[in-house]
Amino acid sequence: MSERTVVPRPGVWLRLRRHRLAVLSLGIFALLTVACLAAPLIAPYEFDTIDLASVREPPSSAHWMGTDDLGRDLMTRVLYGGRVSILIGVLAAVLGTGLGALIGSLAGYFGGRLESVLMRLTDIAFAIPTLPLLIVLASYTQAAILSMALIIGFLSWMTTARVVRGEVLSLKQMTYVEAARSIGAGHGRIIGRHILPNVVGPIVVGATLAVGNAIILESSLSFLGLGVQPPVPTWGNMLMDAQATMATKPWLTVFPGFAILLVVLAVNFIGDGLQDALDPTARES
Amino acid sequence: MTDTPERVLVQVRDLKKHFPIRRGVLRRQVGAVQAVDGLTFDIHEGETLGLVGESGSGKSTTGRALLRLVRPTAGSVAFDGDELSSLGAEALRARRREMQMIFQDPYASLNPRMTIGAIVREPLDIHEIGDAAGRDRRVDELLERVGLSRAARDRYPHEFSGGQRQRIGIARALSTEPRFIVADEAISALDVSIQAQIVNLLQDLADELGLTYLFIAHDLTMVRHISDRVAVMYLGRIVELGTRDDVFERPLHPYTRALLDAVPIPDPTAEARRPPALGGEVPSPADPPSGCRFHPRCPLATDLCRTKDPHTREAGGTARPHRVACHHATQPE
Amino acid sequence: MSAPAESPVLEVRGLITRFHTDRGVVNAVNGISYTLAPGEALALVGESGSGKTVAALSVLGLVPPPGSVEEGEVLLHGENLLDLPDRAWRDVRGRRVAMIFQDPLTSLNPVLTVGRQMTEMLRHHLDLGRDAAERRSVELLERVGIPDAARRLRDYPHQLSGGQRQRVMIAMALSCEPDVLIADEPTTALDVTVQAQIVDLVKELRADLGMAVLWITHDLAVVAGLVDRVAVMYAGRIVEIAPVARLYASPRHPYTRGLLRSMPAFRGSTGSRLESIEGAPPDLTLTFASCPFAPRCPLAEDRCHEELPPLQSTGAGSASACWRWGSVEP
Repeated sequence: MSERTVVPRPGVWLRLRRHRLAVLSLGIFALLTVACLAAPLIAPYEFDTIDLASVREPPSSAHWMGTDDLGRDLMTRVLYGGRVSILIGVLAAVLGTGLGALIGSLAGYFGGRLESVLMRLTDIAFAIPTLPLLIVLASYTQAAILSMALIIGFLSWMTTARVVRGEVLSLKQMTYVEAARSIGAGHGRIIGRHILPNVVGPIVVGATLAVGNAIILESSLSFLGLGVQPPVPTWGNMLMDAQATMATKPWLTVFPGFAILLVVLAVNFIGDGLQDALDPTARES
Repeated sequence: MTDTPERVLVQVRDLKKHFPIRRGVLRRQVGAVQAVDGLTFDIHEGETLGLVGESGSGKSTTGRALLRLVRPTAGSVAFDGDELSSLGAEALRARRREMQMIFQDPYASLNPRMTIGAIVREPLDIHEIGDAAGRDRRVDELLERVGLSRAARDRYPHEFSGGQRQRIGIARALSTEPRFIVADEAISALDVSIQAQIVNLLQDLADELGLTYLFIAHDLTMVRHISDRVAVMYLGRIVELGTRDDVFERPLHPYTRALLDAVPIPDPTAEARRPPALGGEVPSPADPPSGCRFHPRCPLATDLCRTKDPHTREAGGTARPHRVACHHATQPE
Repeated sequence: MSAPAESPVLEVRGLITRFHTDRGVVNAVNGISYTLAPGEALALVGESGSGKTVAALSVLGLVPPPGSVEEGEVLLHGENLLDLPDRAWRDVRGRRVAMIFQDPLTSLNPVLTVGRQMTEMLRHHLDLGRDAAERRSVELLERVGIPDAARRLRDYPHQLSGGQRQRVMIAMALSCEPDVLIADEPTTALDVTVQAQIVDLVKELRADLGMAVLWITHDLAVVAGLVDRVAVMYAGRIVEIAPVARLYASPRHPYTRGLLRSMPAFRGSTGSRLESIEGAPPDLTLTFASCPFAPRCPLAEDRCHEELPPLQSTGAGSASACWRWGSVEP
């Protein structure tokens, strides 16, 4: 028997399992992640092995996804690229959403001057054009994966903050919040147990959208030469490299593009399923 | 009702709660909603005080101010001798063990993401009452006491009907063994046949546990049934206060009489004799009438009422003082 | 009150309305029949989930999806409304049968003045010119007891009190002098003194205009002085229907009796405990082959758990859907 069965959520996992699309997505996402992490073991070539004899070859039995303009194996690069892209995507999303949820819930719950300050801060952050700032920041830091994730995360919390604040403002008026106050609950407990669990929907949605966003932001930076530097591949810089030959050598854009699509879709469906699974009132299908 | 001298459990003196009205970009205060405007009354240990009034009377704000869920603008509320405004945050939290609330809307007052067990247990967790096993036992006991099965523990609020949810709310309120409970329209959202179940439960609990209730309601029939004494509110003031029988059988204030006349009775012959309804509606508490606040609707109003606010005075009373705030209050024959 | 021979203004026969939801089929109204004589007032009383509101909406073809009227007839002066095309429906609603709702604030458009909404409706339904429509609006508002009517026309709905809004709704409902007024819990959201005002107003208007009234409510007390007959609904069925005096004095269904007994007396002695009906109303996704009230009924016997009692006459224009109606004590 556990000491504090504080949040007894029997069946969150069970409920998620009933969400077929989410389970499938979770499988795909896990598979992709594992494959990317295991890239050194399973990739048929080195990601920077240049073979000028076979440049821009279409998919074949030797190169399942073809080769790029330096004759590097595209499948190898997609696998290695995923390590960077998925990591940055997930890390930045978790960071940005977490920060947004924190700022939004503090602003919404406490109101008053704190709210004014935090929300003006959000407005300012919104008003700053992301890309130029990213360029400035990126040029001052090493384009390491972690710093990229941090920078992108810090630049993408505003939407979540606004949405969460709005939700908290209305949840704060709920009678059960007043009921919690009437039994002597403190602010921490009220926010943590009575408010945030009820905002989980918009937070999860925000987080799933943020994953895709971060992957794409990273690719823009790579394109400008400020992201992760070649020859280390990311899905973003692969896509950007292939831009010129999109019409004639479609496999160069299709495979990394498809990888991004797959991850973003999978994360979205997982988010969907998670949202339902965490909501006890959701209809059981 | 007994004749033994009673202990005052809750003492309210000149209680006021004004909500500021702010306008414009600078949020300047341009007025105030005088939700509660100078209440003085006592609640005795073990009694049920009914608090009736129409919307805008301030009855709900009164209940919340008593529990300090809203901070009064002025006046004092003493619980068992302790002035609540003088207590620090920690001391107030500790005091909350003894004073609880049952809410109107059983659909909104339970967190949809918590199991029934967690909801009922939460006050025990907050006040660190007993150990883990003890708390679980207490939750089972409470659920059974309010007429729910132990199996309810692991289920969520949406799986229950309105009446069952209200029972859960009652179990939560009882968990810390409080002495005083504010029931704010606790039955008005329920169906008639369920109301009777809940009222019976509240009465049984009061008898068993010696609870003191402030029973806030707009349904005068239920208030008459459950209360020992009754206070009638109009626009932030208590206009009449007395024993249940004094207020219902010998009402002094013209508003109380109009209110009683307006109560529909499930009897066509009695309904046929019902006098015509009181005209007008409750004015806005942001801009209450001068003098006696009831004068624009009052059949007895004179110039005096338009200019001078009536004091609360004692006007006899059979078992207990019967207080009324009216210049022209008379005993009906 | 009307002679029984007079042909009814509204007759509902075997009405069945179901909702096809994701959770299953909700049998909201399970075959109810009643008549409304010209000028008669009938109350449809029931608790939440009894189907009373859906029964009223069905009459006007206003059942929201995923619900629909699946069987039965709604005869207005002998013409089955359920056969009408959409255009003809619109002509019935508001003009021949008008409805007022519990929350007038949601039935009024918040961004238009009261006057604009009233005059537009009058011009549409009655083909009045702008000035005539305005004059008529003022008359109507005065008729329903709104002081300073000409000024109120320029108000927006939120500037009126709850009682005044309900008066405006009643004024709009009256504008075309309908044959039937359907009132769905129009006083539930109001204070008790205002409720009494609205009840008085409807009584007076009914006497003046001779319209029939179908009043939907959960409160047996409110309609006691207002209607001629009362129909009590439970689980989508009418379980008892009787002239008002008889229903209150000697109910012939244990549910009606239970409802009356669970209200405390307002005059006379205060008993120490209320008689409550134990349990809760049934789940309407179920269909009933036996009496739906049997599980909560103090009089239930074997037969009640086996056979569904039909609504059968108990004499004097009354009927009860109870096998044991003869044993129900007043």
